[in-house]
Amino acid sequence: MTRIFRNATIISVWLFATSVAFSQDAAPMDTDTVVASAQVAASSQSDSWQKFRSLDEDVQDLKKEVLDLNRDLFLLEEELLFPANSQVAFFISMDVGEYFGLDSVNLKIDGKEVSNYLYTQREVDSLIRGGVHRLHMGNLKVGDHELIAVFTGKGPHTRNYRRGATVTLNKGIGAKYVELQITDRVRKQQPEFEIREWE
Amino acid sequence: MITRAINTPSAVITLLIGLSLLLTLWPQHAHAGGDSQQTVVVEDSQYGEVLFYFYQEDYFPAIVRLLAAKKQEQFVNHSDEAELLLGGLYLSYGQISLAVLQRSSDKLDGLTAAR
Repeated sequence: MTRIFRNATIISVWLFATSVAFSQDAAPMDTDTVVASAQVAASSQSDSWQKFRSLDEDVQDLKKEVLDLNRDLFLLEEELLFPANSQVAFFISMDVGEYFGLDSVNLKIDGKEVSNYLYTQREVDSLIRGGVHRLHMGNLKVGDHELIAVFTGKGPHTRNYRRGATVTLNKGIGAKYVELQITDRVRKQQPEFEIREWE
Repeated sequence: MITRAINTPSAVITLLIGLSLLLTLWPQHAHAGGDSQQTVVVEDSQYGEVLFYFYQEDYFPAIVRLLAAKKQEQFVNHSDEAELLLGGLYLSYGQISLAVLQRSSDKLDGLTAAR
Protein backbone atom coordinates (compact mmCIF):
# COMPACT_ATOMS: atom_id res chain seq x y z
CA MET A 1 0.00 0.00 0.00
CA THR A 2 2.83 2.33 0.97
CA ARG A 3 4.70 1.41 -2.24
CA ILE A 4 1.66 2.19 -4.39
CA PHE A 5 1.28 5.55 -2.67
CA ARG A 6 4.99 6.33 -3.21
CA ASN A 7 4.78 5.39 -6.94
CA ALA A 8 1.72 7.56 -7.38
CA THR A 9 3.50 10.49 -5.75
CA ILE A 10 6.58 10.05 -8.00
CA ILE A 11 4.41 9.87 -11.14
CA SER A 12 2.44 12.98 -10.19
CA VAL A 13 5.65 14.94 -9.43
CA TRP A 14 7.10 13.85 -12.80
CA LEU A 15 3.93 14.89 -14.61
CA PHE A 16 3.97 18.31 -12.92
CA ALA A 17 7.68 18.87 -13.77
CA THR A 18 7.10 17.86 -17.41
CA SER A 19 4.13 20.17 -17.77
CA VAL A 20 6.11 23.08 -16.28
CA ALA A 21 9.00 22.42 -18.67
CA PHE A 22 6.65 22.27 -21.68
CA SER A 23 4.90 25.42 -20.68
CA GLN A 24 8.25 27.26 -20.36
CA ASP A 25 9.32 26.05 -23.81
CA ALA A 26 6.00 26.92 -25.37
CA ALA A 27 5.65 30.37 -23.79
CA PRO A 28 7.78 32.42 -26.27
CA MET A 29 6.14 30.69 -29.20
CA ASP A 30 2.64 31.53 -27.90
CA THR A 31 3.51 35.22 -27.46
CA ASP A 32 4.71 35.48 -31.06
CA THR A 33 1.57 33.80 -32.30
CA VAL A 34 -0.63 36.06 -30.22
CA VAL A 35 1.17 39.19 -31.48
CA ALA A 36 0.93 38.04 -35.08
CA SER A 37 -2.73 37.15 -34.80
CA ALA A 38 -3.41 40.48 -33.09
CA GLN A 39 -1.69 42.29 -35.97
CA VAL A 40 -3.75 40.36 -38.51
CA ALA A 41 -6.94 41.10 -36.57
CA ALA A 42 -6.04 44.79 -36.30
CA SER A 43 -5.31 45.09 -40.01
CA SER A 44 -8.55 43.31 -40.94
CA GLN A 45 -10.45 45.56 -38.52
CA SER A 46 -8.81 48.61 -40.09
CA ASP A 47 -9.78 47.36 -43.56
CA SER A 48 -13.38 46.78 -42.53
CA TRP A 49 -13.47 50.22 -40.86
CA GLN A 50 -12.16 51.85 -44.06
CA LYS A 51 -14.80 49.99 -46.07
CA PHE A 52 -17.50 51.12 -43.63
CA ARG A 53 -16.30 54.73 -43.80
CA SER A 54 -16.25 54.65 -47.57
CA LEU A 55 -19.78 53.17 -47.60
CA ASP A 56 -20.99 55.82 -45.16
CA GLU A 57 -19.50 58.58 -47.30
CA ASP A 58 -21.17 57.11 -50.39
CA VAL A 59 -24.54 57.03 -48.62
CA GLN A 60 -24.13 60.61 -47.44
CA ASP A 61 -23.18 61.77 -50.96
CA LEU A 62 -26.20 59.98 -52.36
CA LYS A 63 -28.50 61.55 -49.79
CA LYS A 64 -27.09 64.99 -50.60
CA GLU A 65 -27.76 64.44 -54.30
CA VAL A 66 -31.34 63.37 -53.50
CA LEU A 67 -31.85 66.48 -51.36
CA ASP A 68 -30.48 68.79 -54.06
CA LEU A 69 -32.59 67.10 -56.72
CA ASN A 70 -35.74 67.45 -54.59
CA ARG A 71 -34.98 71.09 -53.92
CA ASP A 72 -34.60 71.80 -57.64
CA LEU A 73 -37.80 69.88 -58.46
CA PHE A 74 -39.67 71.73 -55.72
CA LEU A 75 -38.58 75.10 -57.10
CA LEU A 76 -39.28 74.07 -60.69
CA GLU A 77 -42.76 72.84 -59.77
CA GLU A 78 -43.58 76.11 -58.02
CA GLU A 79 -42.26 78.21 -60.89
CA LEU A 80 -44.20 76.27 -63.50
CA LEU A 81 -47.50 75.76 -61.67
CA PHE A 82 -47.66 79.00 -59.72
CA PRO A 83 -45.99 81.87 -61.57
CA ALA A 84 -44.94 84.78 -59.36
CA ASN A 85 -47.47 87.17 -60.93
CA SER A 86 -50.55 85.14 -60.04
CA GLN A 87 -49.27 83.14 -57.08
CA VAL A 88 -51.27 83.13 -53.87
CA ALA A 89 -50.57 81.01 -50.79
CA PHE A 90 -52.64 80.48 -47.64
CA PHE A 91 -51.00 79.56 -44.36
CA ILE A 92 -52.45 78.37 -41.04
CA SER A 93 -50.76 79.37 -37.80
CA MET A 94 -51.78 78.94 -34.19
CA ASP A 95 -50.91 80.81 -31.04
CA VAL A 96 -51.22 78.99 -27.68
CA GLY A 97 -54.36 77.00 -28.61
CA GLU A 98 -55.74 76.75 -25.08
CA TYR A 99 -59.32 77.57 -26.05
CA PHE A 100 -59.38 75.76 -29.36
CA GLY A 101 -58.31 72.30 -30.50
CA LEU A 102 -58.10 72.37 -34.28
CA ASP A 103 -59.68 69.53 -36.26
CA SER A 104 -60.11 70.83 -39.79
CA VAL A 105 -60.10 73.91 -41.97
CA ASN A 106 -62.26 74.49 -44.99
CA LEU A 107 -61.19 77.19 -47.42
CA LYS A 108 -63.34 78.80 -50.12
CA ILE A 109 -62.24 81.43 -52.62
CA ASP A 110 -65.01 83.24 -54.49
CA GLY A 111 -67.49 80.60 -53.36
CA LYS A 112 -65.39 77.72 -54.68
CA GLU A 113 -63.93 75.20 -52.24
CA VAL A 114 -60.18 74.98 -52.76
CA SER A 115 -59.07 73.12 -49.65
CA ASN A 116 -60.52 70.96 -46.90
CA TYR A 117 -57.76 69.80 -44.61
CA LEU A 118 -58.07 67.48 -41.61
CA TYR A 119 -55.29 67.90 -39.04
CA THR A 120 -53.63 65.12 -37.05
CA GLN A 121 -52.62 65.61 -33.42
CA ARG A 122 -48.94 65.77 -34.45
CA GLU A 123 -49.69 68.55 -36.90
CA VAL A 124 -51.71 70.48 -34.32
CA ASP A 125 -48.86 70.14 -31.79
CA SER A 126 -46.45 71.39 -34.42
CA LEU A 127 -48.70 74.40 -35.11
CA ILE A 128 -48.90 75.24 -31.41
CA ARG A 129 -45.09 75.12 -31.13
CA GLY A 130 -44.71 77.72 -33.87
CA GLY A 131 -45.00 75.81 -37.13
CA VAL A 132 -46.91 77.26 -40.06
CA HIS A 133 -48.83 75.01 -42.43
CA ARG A 134 -49.23 75.90 -46.08
CA LEU A 135 -52.89 75.05 -46.55
CA HIS A 136 -53.27 75.95 -50.18
CA MET A 137 -51.31 77.38 -53.05
CA GLY A 138 -52.92 78.57 -56.22
CA ASN A 139 -53.29 81.25 -58.84
CA LEU A 140 -55.59 84.27 -58.70
CA LYS A 141 -56.28 87.03 -61.17
CA VAL A 142 -55.56 90.63 -60.27
CA GLY A 143 -58.53 92.16 -58.44
CA ASP A 144 -60.79 91.56 -55.43
CA HIS A 145 -61.52 88.04 -54.20
CA GLU A 146 -63.69 86.82 -51.35
CA LEU A 147 -62.05 84.37 -48.98
CA ILE A 148 -64.04 82.27 -46.49
CA ALA A 149 -62.32 80.01 -43.98
CA VAL A 150 -64.31 77.69 -41.72
CA PHE A 151 -62.48 76.28 -38.67
CA THR A 152 -63.83 73.15 -36.97
CA GLY A 153 -62.60 71.73 -33.68
CA LYS A 154 -63.07 71.64 -29.93
CA GLY A 155 -63.76 74.94 -28.26
CA PRO A 156 -63.71 75.89 -24.57
CA HIS A 157 -64.89 73.09 -22.23
CA THR A 158 -64.21 70.62 -25.11
CA ARG A 159 -67.44 71.54 -26.87
CA ASN A 160 -67.71 71.17 -30.63
CA TYR A 161 -66.80 74.45 -32.19
CA ARG A 162 -67.25 75.76 -35.71
CA ARG A 163 -66.38 79.29 -36.69
CA GLY A 164 -65.95 81.12 -39.93
CA ALA A 165 -63.82 84.06 -40.93
CA THR A 166 -64.15 86.04 -44.11
CA VAL A 167 -62.12 88.72 -45.84
CA THR A 168 -61.94 90.41 -49.21
CA LEU A 169 -58.50 90.10 -50.72
CA ASN A 170 -57.09 92.53 -53.17
CA LYS A 171 -54.71 90.69 -55.44
CA GLY A 172 -52.18 92.90 -57.11
CA ILE A 173 -49.25 92.06 -59.33
CA GLY A 174 -46.82 89.75 -57.56
CA ALA A 175 -47.15 86.86 -55.14
CA LYS A 176 -49.50 87.19 -52.17
CA TYR A 177 -49.22 85.30 -48.89
CA VAL A 178 -52.24 85.15 -46.58
CA GLU A 179 -52.11 83.95 -42.99
CA LEU A 180 -55.11 82.42 -41.24
CA GLN A 181 -54.25 82.84 -37.59
CA ILE A 182 -55.90 81.17 -34.61
CA THR A 183 -55.25 83.00 -31.34
CA ASP A 184 -56.60 82.86 -27.81
CA ARG A 185 -58.49 85.83 -26.45
CA VAL A 186 -57.89 85.47 -22.72
CA ARG A 187 -60.36 88.19 -21.65
CA LYS A 188 -63.29 86.51 -23.41
CA GLN A 189 -61.87 83.01 -22.90
CA GLN A 190 -62.62 82.31 -26.54
CA PRO A 191 -60.53 81.57 -29.60
CA GLU A 192 -60.15 84.20 -32.25
CA PHE A 193 -59.70 83.70 -35.98
CA GLU A 194 -57.93 86.33 -37.98
CA ILE A 195 -57.01 86.59 -41.61
CA ARG A 196 -54.12 88.85 -42.47
CA GLU A 197 -51.80 89.36 -45.33
CA TRP A 198 -48.20 88.40 -44.79
CA GLU A 199 -45.71 91.18 -45.33
CA MET B 1 -17.05 72.43 14.03
CA ILE B 2 -18.22 74.48 11.00
CA THR B 3 -16.16 77.50 12.11
CA ARG B 4 -13.09 75.30 12.35
CA ALA B 5 -13.71 73.91 8.87
CA ILE B 6 -14.10 77.38 7.34
CA ASN B 7 -10.93 78.57 9.06
CA THR B 8 -8.75 76.42 6.82
CA PRO B 9 -7.55 78.32 3.69
CA SER B 10 -8.68 75.65 1.19
CA ALA B 11 -12.19 75.61 2.66
CA VAL B 12 -12.41 79.40 2.40
CA ILE B 13 -11.30 79.32 -1.25
CA THR B 14 -13.81 76.56 -2.04
CA LEU B 15 -16.56 78.53 -0.35
CA LEU B 16 -15.68 81.69 -2.28
CA ILE B 17 -15.59 79.84 -5.60
CA GLY B 18 -18.93 78.22 -4.80
CA LEU B 19 -20.51 81.55 -3.89
CA SER B 20 -19.18 83.27 -7.01
CA LEU B 21 -20.45 80.41 -9.20
CA LEU B 22 -23.85 80.61 -7.54
CA LEU B 23 -24.03 84.36 -8.07
CA THR B 24 -22.91 84.02 -11.69
CA LEU B 25 -25.33 81.25 -12.61
CA TRP B 26 -28.38 82.38 -10.65
CA PRO B 27 -29.60 85.21 -12.95
CA GLN B 28 -28.91 83.10 -16.06
CA HIS B 29 -31.12 80.29 -14.76
CA ALA B 30 -33.87 82.74 -13.90
CA HIS B 31 -33.56 84.28 -17.36
CA ALA B 32 -33.57 80.89 -19.08
CA GLY B 33 -36.70 79.91 -17.18
CA GLY B 34 -38.45 83.01 -18.44
CA ASP B 35 -37.32 82.46 -22.04
CA SER B 36 -38.47 78.86 -22.18
CA GLN B 37 -42.05 80.00 -21.83
CA GLN B 38 -41.81 82.32 -24.82
CA THR B 39 -43.26 81.03 -28.07
CA VAL B 40 -41.53 81.31 -31.43
CA VAL B 41 -42.66 84.39 -33.33
CA VAL B 42 -42.44 83.50 -36.99
CA GLU B 43 -42.03 86.42 -39.33
CA ASP B 44 -41.19 84.56 -42.55
CA SER B 45 -43.88 82.15 -43.73
CA GLN B 46 -41.28 79.86 -45.32
CA TYR B 47 -39.40 79.56 -42.03
CA GLY B 48 -42.65 78.66 -40.25
CA GLU B 49 -43.31 76.00 -42.87
CA VAL B 50 -39.90 74.46 -42.25
CA LEU B 51 -40.64 74.46 -38.50
CA PHE B 52 -43.99 72.76 -39.18
CA TYR B 53 -42.18 69.73 -40.63
CA PHE B 54 -39.24 69.93 -38.23
CA TYR B 55 -41.49 69.70 -35.15
CA GLN B 56 -43.11 66.60 -36.65
CA GLU B 57 -39.64 65.11 -37.13
CA ASP B 58 -40.19 65.00 -40.91
CA TYR B 59 -36.64 66.02 -41.67
CA PHE B 60 -36.60 65.40 -45.41
CA PRO B 61 -39.41 67.83 -46.40
CA ALA B 62 -38.05 70.31 -43.83
CA ILE B 63 -34.57 70.28 -45.42
CA VAL B 64 -35.98 70.46 -48.97
CA ARG B 65 -38.17 73.47 -48.12
CA LEU B 66 -35.37 75.18 -46.23
CA LEU B 67 -32.91 74.71 -49.10
CA ALA B 68 -35.50 75.94 -51.62
CA ALA B 69 -36.31 79.05 -49.57
CA LYS B 70 -32.62 79.69 -48.98
CA LYS B 71 -31.87 79.49 -52.69
CA GLN B 72 -34.64 82.01 -53.39
CA GLU B 73 -33.40 84.22 -50.51
CA GLN B 74 -36.80 84.19 -48.84
CA PHE B 75 -35.52 84.27 -45.26
CA VAL B 76 -35.55 87.97 -44.52
CA ASN B 77 -36.07 87.93 -40.76
CA HIS B 78 -34.84 84.43 -39.88
CA SER B 79 -31.71 83.97 -41.96
CA ASP B 80 -29.47 83.22 -38.95
CA GLU B 81 -31.95 80.85 -37.33
CA ALA B 82 -32.42 79.12 -40.67
CA GLU B 83 -28.67 78.47 -40.94
CA LEU B 84 -28.60 77.03 -37.44
CA LEU B 85 -31.70 74.94 -38.09
CA LEU B 86 -30.20 73.58 -41.31
CA GLY B 87 -27.17 72.31 -39.38
CA GLY B 88 -29.46 70.58 -36.88
CA LEU B 89 -31.60 69.11 -39.64
CA TYR B 90 -28.55 67.72 -41.43
CA LEU B 91 -27.43 66.12 -38.19
CA SER B 92 -30.87 64.61 -37.57
CA TYR B 93 -30.98 63.32 -41.14
CA GLY B 94 -27.60 61.59 -40.74
CA GLN B 95 -25.68 64.03 -42.96
CA ILE B 96 -22.78 64.36 -40.55
CA SER B 97 -20.30 65.80 -43.06
CA LEU B 98 -22.80 68.44 -44.22
CA ALA B 99 -23.64 69.30 -40.60
CA VAL B 100 -19.94 69.80 -39.90
CA LEU B 101 -19.62 71.99 -43.02
CA GLN B 102 -22.67 73.96 -41.93
CA ARG B 103 -21.19 74.39 -38.44
CA SER B 104 -17.97 75.77 -39.88
CA SER B 105 -19.74 78.23 -42.18
CA ASP B 106 -18.81 81.88 -41.69
CA LYS B 107 -22.39 82.95 -41.03
CA LEU B 108 -22.86 80.50 -38.18
CA ASP B 109 -19.50 81.45 -36.69
CA GLY B 110 -20.61 85.08 -36.69
CA LEU B 111 -23.89 84.10 -35.04
CA THR B 112 -22.11 82.13 -32.32
CA ALA B 113 -19.69 84.98 -31.67
CA ALA B 114 -22.54 87.50 -31.48
CA ARG B 115 -24.32 85.48 -28.80
